[in-house]
Parts: sequence; C-alpha cells; structure tokens
Amino acid sequence: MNYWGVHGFAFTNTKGEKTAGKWVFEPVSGLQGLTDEEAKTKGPSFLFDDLRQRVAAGQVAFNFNLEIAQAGDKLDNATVPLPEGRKKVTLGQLRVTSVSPDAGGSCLTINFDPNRMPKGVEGLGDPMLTARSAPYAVSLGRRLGEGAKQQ
Amino acid sequence: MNFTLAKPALATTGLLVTLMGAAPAAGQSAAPTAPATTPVSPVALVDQFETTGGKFEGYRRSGAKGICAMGEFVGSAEAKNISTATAFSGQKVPVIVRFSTGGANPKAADNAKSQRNMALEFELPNGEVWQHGNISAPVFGAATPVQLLGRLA
Repeated sequence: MNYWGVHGFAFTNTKGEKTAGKWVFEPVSGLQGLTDEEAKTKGPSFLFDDLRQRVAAGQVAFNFNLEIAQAGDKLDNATVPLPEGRKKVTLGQLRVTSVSPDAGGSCLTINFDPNRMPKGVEGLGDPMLTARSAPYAVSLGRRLGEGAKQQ
Repeated sequence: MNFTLAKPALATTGLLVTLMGAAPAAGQSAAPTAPATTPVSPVALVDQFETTGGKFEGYRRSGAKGICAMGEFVGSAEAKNISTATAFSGQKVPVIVRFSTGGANPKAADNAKSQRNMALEFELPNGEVWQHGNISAPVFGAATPVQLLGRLA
C-alpha cells in the first residue's frame, strides 16, 4: 500500500537551492491488494495481525520517494495531485523493524503533526497542512483528559 | 528553481481529513477553494468529528484503530544533495511508525474499506523531530477547513 504526504513541501540544500514536490512512500516489495471477496473472508483484525507477521519476516519497507514539481504545478491545494509522470527521486528507505506487542508502545501520546519539520524541509502554504496542528492538539488534550487509550 | 512561500493560513482550523477517506478520483477537477482564511475553530471541528464519527473516550478522533511500530530510515545520496535535513545524513535514523485505519471507532473491523494512514516521527539528532501524517490516497477530500467541515456535517 502506498502512503502519500498529500501536501506540497520544499527541500533546501547547502547552496540554498529549493526542490519542491509531493512525496509518496512506496513499498519496496510492491503493492499488495485484496479483492473485495478476499477481504470479506478475513477476520476483523487481519490487517494488523498480517502486519505483525510481515514485519517479523522483514518484509515491510518503503522507499521514501519525492515527485518533483515543475513550474506551474499546484503545490498548495490538498485536492490536486501532481501531474502524472513527474520525475521521482528516492530520498531513502524506511524499514519497519518491530511492532509493539500490545496496545502500548510509544505512540499513545504522540500527536503526529506534519507541520513539525526539521531544518531543510518546509511546507508550501497548503491551508490544509497548516490547519492540521490546532485540531490535532485539541484532540490530544481531550484524549489526555479522558485517559489516553490506543487500539 | 525558486519557490516563494505563501503566507500561512490565519485560520486555526481544518484537520484530520483522514476521517473522510480519499478524495475525488484522478481526472476530476479540483474542489473549488473557499477563502482559506474563513475561520473554523479547531474546537468546532473536533466536535464535528465526534458528532459524525462517534465519541470514543481516550481515543484519537480519527485514525483511532492503529498499531505502533519502530523502524529505521536511511537517507540516500540524492536526498543529501537536495536537503540539509539531518534525516538524510545517510546514518540510520530511528522512526516511530503508527499504522491506522480511518475513523473514530477503535474497534472497527479491518475488512471494511477505509482509508489507511502511516504516521511517522523521525527521531533526529539534537532533539529535532520530523512528523508525517501520510494517507493511502494522493489527495484529501477537502482543500480548506471550511470545505472539510461542510463534508462532515
């Protein structure tokens, strides 16, 4: 399964040159899908059970790919993808090495806010990107007040 | 290429389109953009998520059902050429990964069709972090918070 970043981002190098685009994580082993019929035969937790097995077998890895925008491409609208055929560069590889054994794990109180970027990466004015911070924080506040749970 | 940064939206809004799942199919025209500065309070938006998706105390209001994992990222030489970010040093970077399915119900069945998410937190040197909220579609279903609220209500 592919995972897209959706928003436009720009990367800056040591010379101050900017490269802009939209990214996508693509599985190293290729896409795997199920037909509707196959999906119906699976149990209600098959996704995560299946993931545990595949991680244990070392089969879960993604190429972090950046599709590079050309002049005129829209980078500030979350409903507009880049045109097909844009040059793609691989920024590196993400390998999933272990899965939390139960509903615990470090994710419980992490608020995954895509506006938290390191130096060398910046957003490109997509209003849906900047808009994610505050409601995520509100949700985290409610969860912590209620007693945060996961899974 | 030079890219000028647009001013960030003033609205403190919009969000978690993950609840709404993927967007128009490729080839359809883009959703019209209402003014991005139309205010939608984040509280109102989260309230709407709870109304639409159900309220499950303690859980995320979207992407409630998930699994936490650890990973490692190694940047490429090409990445180092385009960005100074330490994520691309070429050294192994620890990453916290959370896979989740769309929606507010932490007990939702996996075999129903829904959006999937892969959230990431790269643990970088000197206390920097890089967080992602990646989704299983190339686009969102709304271009602005106002549109998102309209879709949920």
